Amino acid sequence: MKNRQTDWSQPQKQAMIGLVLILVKVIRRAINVFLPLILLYVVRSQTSSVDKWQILLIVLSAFMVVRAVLEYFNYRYYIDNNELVIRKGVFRRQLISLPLEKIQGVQLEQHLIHKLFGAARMSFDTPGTESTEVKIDAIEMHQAAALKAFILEHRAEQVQLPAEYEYDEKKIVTLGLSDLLRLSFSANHVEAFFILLGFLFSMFENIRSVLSDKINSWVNNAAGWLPQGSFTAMVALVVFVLLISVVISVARTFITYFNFFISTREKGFRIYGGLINVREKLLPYSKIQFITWRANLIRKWLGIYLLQYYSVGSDNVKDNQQIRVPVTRTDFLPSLTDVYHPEIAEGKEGRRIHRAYVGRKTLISVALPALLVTGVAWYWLEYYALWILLLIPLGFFHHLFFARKFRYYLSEEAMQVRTGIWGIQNVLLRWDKIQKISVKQTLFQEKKGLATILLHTAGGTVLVPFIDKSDAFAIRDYALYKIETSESSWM
Amino acid sequence: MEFSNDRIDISDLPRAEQVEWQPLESTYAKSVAFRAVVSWFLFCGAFLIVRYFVPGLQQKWMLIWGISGITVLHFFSWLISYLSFLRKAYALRERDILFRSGWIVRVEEVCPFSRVQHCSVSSGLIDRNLGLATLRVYTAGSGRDISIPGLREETALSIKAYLTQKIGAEDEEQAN
Repeated sequence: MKNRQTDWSQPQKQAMIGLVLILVKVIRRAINVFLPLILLYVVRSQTSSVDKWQILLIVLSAFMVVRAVLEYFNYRYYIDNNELVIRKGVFRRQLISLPLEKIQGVQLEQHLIHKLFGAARMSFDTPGTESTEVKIDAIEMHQAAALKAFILEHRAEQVQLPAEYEYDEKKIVTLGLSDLLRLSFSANHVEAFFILLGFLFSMFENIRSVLSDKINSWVNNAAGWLPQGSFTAMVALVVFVLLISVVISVARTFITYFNFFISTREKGFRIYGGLINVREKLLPYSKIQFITWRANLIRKWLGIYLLQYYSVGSDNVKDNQQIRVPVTRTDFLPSLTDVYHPEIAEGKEGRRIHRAYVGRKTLISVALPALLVTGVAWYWLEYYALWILLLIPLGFFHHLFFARKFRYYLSEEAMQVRTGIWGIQNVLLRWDKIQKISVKQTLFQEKKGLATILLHTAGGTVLVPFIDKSDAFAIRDYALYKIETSESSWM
Repeated sequence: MEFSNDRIDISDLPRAEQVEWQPLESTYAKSVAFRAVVSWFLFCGAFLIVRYFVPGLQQKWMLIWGISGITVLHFFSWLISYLSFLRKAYALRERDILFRSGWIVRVEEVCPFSRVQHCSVSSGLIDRNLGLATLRVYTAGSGRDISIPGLREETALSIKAYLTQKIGAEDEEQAN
């Protein structure tokens, strides 16, 4: 077999089918770039000469083919000094090296075209793979199997996942019927209302295409009696919408959290629950990057929080795939956070952000856009356009409350951020979980001696805006010290 | 700062703002200018092609306005790129890499070596002809990478080799 003798230290080419795949990719990119020209071609006037278009098409096609061929022949992969090296590019040459011990998994994908030619696409899972292009688009199957075996053999250590079942589990949070009802009634009904609205709108759009005439006559009739309708009718409508929204909230809560529990194991949490789709998740403690828990106004009064674990790649995962745990009793909270880090803020006076935040944020994110929109809207609405300017005081109070309530707390091993205008949101971040630190300063902030610090983790970013520049630098230096002297693995 | 930390005196910690910044290669200014010129030619070319095919754009004043607009936009884009080039700088310390960028919004990024996943060196057509390259340092998760342009190709490759060696050393240290 050819694969047995493959010398991975020698640069390898992709499988021949790679050429077709590159061509498809180049064509797709070209379509994106030349879309205006393609549209022009489609809507061109009949009088214009066809020859011009033919020449343009031939030149572009030739360029694409030459580029694809060059890209194919310039692509090489090999193993050098325990690193997977990929060399590629025509106009922009790229040399990517991926240490083998960083590879957590090797994926092989076969689309129809791969299957026809006995090839596969090989991609390499690393915690940072999302934004990179560490993959081989076309590799013959036997080569792929050999390379995968080679990499897995040479990897420093296999990733240890928690066992499927453990008998020493201890349930730390369980939700009963009363918990579910409290959760349902305190849910964000406005959100539920918009979901209902979206659903009704899409249904209406579908029905309208079938029954457009009938619907028009119903709408006309309704428009006739609506102005005559009494105040009671309007109130009834509002109550009806509110009731439906509450019903939707109850249904959503039961579908997501029916029979919900979270249990602790030696190395991680097991999270289980759901009515129609039962979801079970294993979350190793070491993978938790930071934790948030938040409550809207009603839930804040009732002492109910929704806690969320941000693990590696959380910011790239769909909303319904996130790991959220309802905290219906305050004594649940420590058992959910302490394994990562105990809460810092309780009973402490936190540090505040600078008041310049309010004016600056109102100016940039509300006042200037509102003035611009008012200017444009004046053309159609005239004096009515001035109503848009009401957004400015609203924005001002929003940012004022935000800045007044913002607190951050620092401790030896972690920091906590507490925000919230009506409700409350807490973020708990351990210093050693940070991947990168950025300190940002606009020209205005620089003049005032202020800065914004961004603490990037593998699960998302925690931000503290408008603090003293010296504080931002001190936090950065301390966080770097903690990261660089930490002996525990960040995942 | 009010850290409750008895063992470490915060003022004794190494201060990242006192680091000696290494500016980008001065030839990178040429790369910025060349890129602006190439982009200007491409935009003008595209405009002329579209004008050739669309009868409504064939008046002389459309040509003057079109080319002037493209020129003004390119001038400002070049100016901002040039000003931010003057600010861009990097620094390597024993345990982390720093990069400073931005003219309107000034950003200083630091990435400890123990958090680097891997790195790459790349160079476009213009940079290659000027002997320049871009070093990209990848950390875990997306959007948290550091990208340092305007390095001499040998410098970029030697930093990459240094980082790779450091990553290996950190991993071994952790394994032990």
